[in-house]
Amino acid sequence: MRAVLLCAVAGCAAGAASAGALDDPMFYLHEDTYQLTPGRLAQWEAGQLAQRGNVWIDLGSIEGGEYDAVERGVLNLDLASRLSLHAELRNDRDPDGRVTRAVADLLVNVAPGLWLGASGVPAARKQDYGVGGSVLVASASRRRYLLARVVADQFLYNRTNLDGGTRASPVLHAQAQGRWEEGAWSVAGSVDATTESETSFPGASLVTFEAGSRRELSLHGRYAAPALELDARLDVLRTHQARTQLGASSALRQTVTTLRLDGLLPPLAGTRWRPRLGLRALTGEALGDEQGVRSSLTRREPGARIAAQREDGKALWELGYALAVPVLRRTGIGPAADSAPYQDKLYGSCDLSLGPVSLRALLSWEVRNARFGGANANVLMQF
Amino acid sequence: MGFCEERLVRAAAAVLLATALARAARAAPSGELFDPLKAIEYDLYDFAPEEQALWEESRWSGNAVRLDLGSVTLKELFAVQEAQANLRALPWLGFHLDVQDDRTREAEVARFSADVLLRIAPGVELAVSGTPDVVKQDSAVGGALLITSAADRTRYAVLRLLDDAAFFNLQNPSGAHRDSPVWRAQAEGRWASGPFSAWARADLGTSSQVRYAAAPPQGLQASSDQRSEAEAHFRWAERGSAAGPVLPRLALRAVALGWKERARGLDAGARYGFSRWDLGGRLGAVWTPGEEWTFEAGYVRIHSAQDLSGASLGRWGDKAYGTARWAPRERVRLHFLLSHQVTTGGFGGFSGGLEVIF
Repeated sequence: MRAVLLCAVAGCAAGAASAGALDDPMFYLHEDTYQLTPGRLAQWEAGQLAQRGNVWIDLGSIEGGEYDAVERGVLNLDLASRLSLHAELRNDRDPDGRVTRAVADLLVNVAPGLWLGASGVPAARKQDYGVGGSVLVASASRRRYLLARVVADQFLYNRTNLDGGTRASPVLHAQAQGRWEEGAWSVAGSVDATTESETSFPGASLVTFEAGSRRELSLHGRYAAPALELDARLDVLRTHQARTQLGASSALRQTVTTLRLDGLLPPLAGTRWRPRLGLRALTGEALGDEQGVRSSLTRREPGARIAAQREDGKALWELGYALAVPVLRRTGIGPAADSAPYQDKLYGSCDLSLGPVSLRALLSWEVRNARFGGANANVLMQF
Repeated sequence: MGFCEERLVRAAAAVLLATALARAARAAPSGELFDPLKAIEYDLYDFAPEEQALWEESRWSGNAVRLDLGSVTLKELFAVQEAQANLRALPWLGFHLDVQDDRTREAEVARFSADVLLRIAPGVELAVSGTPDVVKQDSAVGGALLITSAADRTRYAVLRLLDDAAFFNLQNPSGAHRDSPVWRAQAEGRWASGPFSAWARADLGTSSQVRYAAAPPQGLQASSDQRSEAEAHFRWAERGSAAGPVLPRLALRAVALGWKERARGLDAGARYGFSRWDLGGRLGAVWTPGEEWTFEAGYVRIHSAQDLSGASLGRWGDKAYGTARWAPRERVRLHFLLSHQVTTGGFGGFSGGLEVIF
């Protein structure tokens, strides 16, 4: 985990110097094509409390030889008649850095459908321990649920850390996730927010101060009938990173909001191909400060997708074309610059359903740039 | 759950850890290296032999989670955090996943590994193996051969060969360069017959030497590391015995402890060598009042003969401990241990953990 933390620190440091994904014209188009299909995403959401094991691994190539990566796992184990364990493991990475977190809830059933729990962040180093509490309200099937948790992250940091760091105040981490379904309709959402982590390293020669926070919101509304699937998704990510290195301060505050609308229509007459249409709108802003010199980057990105799906036994084939027009505007460091490069991708994927495991492989081609557009593989395991 | 009488020989902690850093870097000996209580703590905090045996049996036949955290020093932990899954997608296609973040025996190992298993004959599977790391240059790829007892997969032998961080030189935005590939050979096997079982695991790696050509003068210029480890567990356990050696619900646990450790390093240009040879024993009383609960109390004492660059030092350490174990369901076990240093009168630390096999 030390390596993981070093990488996280490196990611944070890199993020404080540049806008990362927001500055990359292709990143969000890559991310959009690599994501789980809305149907698989709904399957993941439904299994968060209902499945004993729920695993999602997703690795996709992006510019610069890196991954847009999601590695998440959830466990729900009944330890005793009124005692359950819910554990979540997250190890995600994108150009803005890395989010690595494990958290577990020891839940006691205090009334039908109601659990109260002690929460903790188990770690291999004492300074990374977290403690807190949680409450879970769930239906009998556990496909409808509301789980809320507050954890004091790294609450022993000042007394036990090996980095020589001092934290000004505790870091509180609030998380909530919920899902409701009724017939063909379902709504799932999650909130994950931390208070500001401000750490000083008085004895360090290189980095003497670091600060950071991350706040995420996701909502997914879905209508799924045999002949028609409609999905609306909203994702908001707000991050703040700051650092003082060799006496020079830098900071970066970013907000990215993405709205996606997706529709999977009935098969075209005489064929087994089902059209899939998607619209995406992204707005992002990065405000930087390098030794008092302020800069900003704004991004407005409309995007669309036209694709077709065909089910063939255990395999689901999809061929599609996705496009985006990222309108980027930079001010501050250097002359103001505007750009609006048209970006697109042609892609094909095959999704195999093999009992408790589904596998998908995707290959893409950037038509406008006339180059290989990256590959993606994802696995969803539910057991 | 019946009373379990056992004799146990466990040879763990055969660890070779060699670390050599470049001239500018430091590899100061950690305080933990000299701690006379370390061997005691690693023995007390580790999973009990009966818990370890359940987990070994499940390695290729079931899913498991186990967590064990115990204080070693004021700032460090003995930590075992492991999860495994075995999924059968098709009769000929399976998946094995291992996630671990352990901090024991002077090294921390955080790893996620996966095997895609293709059955080629009853009880014989070939695997495409790897570590799908979120950092591309840290991903490993390789292959494995797995042989299992066809009926229940509780007897097995697996041999895996990995090219560790296979894309390090190809996909490394930091500009670091590794001189040669790093190979890892991993093997794990279990055999059981009647009350006897034997389990062993080895993880051997070649040396990794990395140069950071673009690093600033005050930064890290080069690094080198190597980690190899092996462990084994031999067990004889007779279940269902109505009487223990002392009283119907009372038994004795006797443990012989031996710990040998050697370290060599370079600290700010000065070489040092360290060795220790610890010998001791533990005696505990195990009381099982009912089906779900087991309580254990005992005393452990050890002598640590240490040598640091020719300077010898003999140190004693001891602890009295009490453990509560709760097994609310079959294959669900939780434990909590509290200890006290008798000789010094100091608090001896505690540990807690759980093991669930499902």
